[in-house]
Amino acid sequence: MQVTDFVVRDLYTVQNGRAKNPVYTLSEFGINSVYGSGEVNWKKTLYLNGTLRKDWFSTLSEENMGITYPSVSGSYVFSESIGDALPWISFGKIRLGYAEVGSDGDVGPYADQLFYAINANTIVNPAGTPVTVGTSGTTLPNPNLRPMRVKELEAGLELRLFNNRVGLDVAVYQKTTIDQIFSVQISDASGFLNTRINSGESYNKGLEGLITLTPIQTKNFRWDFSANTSYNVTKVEKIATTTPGERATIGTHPFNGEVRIVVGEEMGQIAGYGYATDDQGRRIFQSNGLPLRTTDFVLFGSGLPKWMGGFFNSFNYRGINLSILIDYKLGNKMLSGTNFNATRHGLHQNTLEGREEGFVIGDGVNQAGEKNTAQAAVQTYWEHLRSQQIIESVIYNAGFWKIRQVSLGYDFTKHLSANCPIKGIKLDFVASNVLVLKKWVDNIDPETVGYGVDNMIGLESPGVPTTRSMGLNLNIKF
Amino acid sequence: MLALAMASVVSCDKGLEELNVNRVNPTTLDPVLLLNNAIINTSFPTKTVIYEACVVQQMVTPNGGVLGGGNFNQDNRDVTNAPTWAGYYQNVIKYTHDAISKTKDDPTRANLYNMARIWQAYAFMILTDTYGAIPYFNGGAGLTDLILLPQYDQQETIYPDLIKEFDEATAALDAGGKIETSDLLYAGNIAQWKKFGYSLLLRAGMRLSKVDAATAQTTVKKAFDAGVIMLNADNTYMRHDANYLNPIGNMLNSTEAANWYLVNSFVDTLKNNSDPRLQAIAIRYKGATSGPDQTVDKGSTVPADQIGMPMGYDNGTIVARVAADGLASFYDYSQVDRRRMAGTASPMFFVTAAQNQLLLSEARFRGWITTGSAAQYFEDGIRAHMNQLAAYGSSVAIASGDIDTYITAHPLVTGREYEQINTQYWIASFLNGPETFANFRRSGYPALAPNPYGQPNNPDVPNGTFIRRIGYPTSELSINSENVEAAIAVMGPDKLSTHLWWDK
Repeated sequence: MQVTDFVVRDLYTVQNGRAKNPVYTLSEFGINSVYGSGEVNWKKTLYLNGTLRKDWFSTLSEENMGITYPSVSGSYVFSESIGDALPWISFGKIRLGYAEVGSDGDVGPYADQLFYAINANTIVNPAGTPVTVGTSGTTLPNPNLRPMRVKELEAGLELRLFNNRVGLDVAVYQKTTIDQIFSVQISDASGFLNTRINSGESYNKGLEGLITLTPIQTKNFRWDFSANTSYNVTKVEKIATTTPGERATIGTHPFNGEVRIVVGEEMGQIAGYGYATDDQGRRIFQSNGLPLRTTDFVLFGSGLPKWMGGFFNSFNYRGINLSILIDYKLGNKMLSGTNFNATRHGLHQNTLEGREEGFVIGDGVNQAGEKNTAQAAVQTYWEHLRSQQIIESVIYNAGFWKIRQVSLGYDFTKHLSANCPIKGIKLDFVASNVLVLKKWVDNIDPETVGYGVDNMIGLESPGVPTTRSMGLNLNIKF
Repeated sequence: MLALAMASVVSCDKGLEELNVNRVNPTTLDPVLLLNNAIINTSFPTKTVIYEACVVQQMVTPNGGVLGGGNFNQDNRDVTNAPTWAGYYQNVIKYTHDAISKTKDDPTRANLYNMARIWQAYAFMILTDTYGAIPYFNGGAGLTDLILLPQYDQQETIYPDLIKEFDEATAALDAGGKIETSDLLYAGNIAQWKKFGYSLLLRAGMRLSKVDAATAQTTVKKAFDAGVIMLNADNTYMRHDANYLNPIGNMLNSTEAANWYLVNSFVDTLKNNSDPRLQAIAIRYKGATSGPDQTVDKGSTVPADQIGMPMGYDNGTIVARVAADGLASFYDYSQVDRRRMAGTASPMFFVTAAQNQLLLSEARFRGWITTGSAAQYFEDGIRAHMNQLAAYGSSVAIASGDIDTYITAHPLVTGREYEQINTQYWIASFLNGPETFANFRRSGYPALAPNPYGQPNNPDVPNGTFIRRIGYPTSELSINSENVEAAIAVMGPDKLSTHLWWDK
């Protein structure tokens, strides 16, 4: 490590040097914990568990770094009590649990202070002196962050019937998240782009279910089926106050639109300008025939799916195995940057409107409330969406049904002689991301990810399309 | 059967605090390095071509999308080219504010404190001239005061404070104090910083000529008496190099090289007056049919060859006009020469002797100052600008004989003073979008025909008028909405057509 040209006198740290070779960074954090747990059980039928834990996070300030949180859960294996009265119940259990969890919400190390850096390149001033240039971070540090806390109450039922041929696992839960740590946008007139806050409270409820069946089981043939589903809705209850409509922006699309948390709404609202409409819902066009945008941002819905799940079928016949997985995500919205670009460049099918004539007369009214008759040049008409950041036409239902995976294989093991050094051979043909059965977004796979981060959920940007993969798996055991 | 285990909870945070001390990055820095960064980032952003240069009809493009703006009389809040707002608040005010707070209570850095105050007031002046009401008193105070959503101040209350800042901070500069030799702008030269500070005072005073002539007069006189930049050697400019690129030069040499053209109003003004600056500024790739076809061997810098692009066309409608002008395509119109004046490392001028001489010519003509003659300041202003072009390189420099010829042929004519002075100011401020735009709004000169694009039904700019301000960024409307709405309620609608306070 070589560092030259220290800038702040007597400060011998790496980034205090102008020229660094090689580039050097160091980032350390730690969590100290104490943890205690206890378990009581009675005749393998009633169970009671309790835990108590305290964590200290190095990333938070000394006053706020510690958090204590308990959990308690009880379960009753009722199949033990029923005994032989209902022999078709192989196993049955109900459970009820309450748990709290603390976290520093992935706040990075040193996030409580503003750091400076020195540009690698000097620049010559009029005296001929090469002078250095200093910069500082774009996130305004918040030294007062507290750990976040999640409180969850869950009830569940677990059943296995008919000699384990039928299985059922159902859980319902409600969860309150307090002091969730968000990076929120602030006015850049403050000098900074964002800061981290403890956002009041969000409330989350849902259910999860899993059913497993073996409908057919004979000597040579076996059909296994399973289905799982989950339903989850998260609602923001409080940011700084509980006033409905109070909001914070947590992520911004580079072109248009953003993700907000809004009190009284589902988490992860996609927001942006829409088409202005009159009280009868008709679009309003300006005197030049171009659509008027809404005065303020409109909430288009949450980017978080409500329903997720899948169906799995597996067939086994004399060593031949065929399995198919169908899955789905439903109930979420997306802002498609790919379709936005296609629209403004005239590549989207929507933009065929007016292509022949060279102009568009938008269907709606003018600002006086009369039928719109103004012609807008077709290129101008579609480019207008970009300059005005009107995203309404590229907000889609992001749900889908997909054949996620198909595999077909054969197990050759039984053809091996007992003294063969190879103990097993299995060959599988596997195809992933096989087919989109149903989607609502144009031109792209709804799973095309714009940004792999939670605060940009639902924002898609032109990226690499998703791929279908097909391959052969050969498994040899020795 | 029973099992129970509980650990006792004891304090366990020892060592964690020390762990959260960054041993790599400094938590403070010599504030002069922050001021240097602010100065670098004050170089006018590319958005000032999309709007300001189009409105004053010096450069235009027939293409829309991210480049749609002044060319189409169109409100464009797209952020691909960051607006002045974002560039200045995030990269200028942020650093001047930090430098000011770090030096305010340190008498040994009093000069740096006042230099940062002057630069910050300069950046705020450009911001309010562009947008109107802006977060001024609370702007940039995120770090010092944790103001995350600053209130806006009306231009009417900002200007008196700008004048006070230019006046006070400049007067407080002391050649006997510590000289900030690491200063990028003037290497800490106090005499030059003083001239710069008073030049801004002159500029701020002249800005008020329409709205408050009395304050304008006293401010201008005070600045002039104290001493402003009168020679090119004292000019305030950013010395770009291969690392710190000129944003506009960089744009014109990369993505938008074939998109921007000189406007015919500008080319014709220079051409019809045999102005030697046309040869210095312009190039036309004769017969070019595409961007890649704009090759060096097709390039002509001969003034007679130059043809400016007319205002009011898009890439559809320009085709007929190209034919009428006898050109091969729109790529065949004249451009600012990206290989000479608009290079990636070309200097960016903030305040020049030429601008000051011309402002003083007007001030003398108005009788606000009493020494010198308006005609002499006028002549000196033209000469200063023509000489200033040598800073772009020898191929842009103008021979002294050509300067004399032009000046002899273009004396200040009675009855045309305002028009002549401010038309020269327009030429002398080429590539300084904010200043040409502001002075055009203030003076009404040069006498340009309004951009006819989208007329008579353009909703953003009424027929027969010009753009008077730029709209607030969408981020403010979304995030700082309460404060921006309160500002709009007083200032007038957040539209391109709204006149600012000093532009009534």
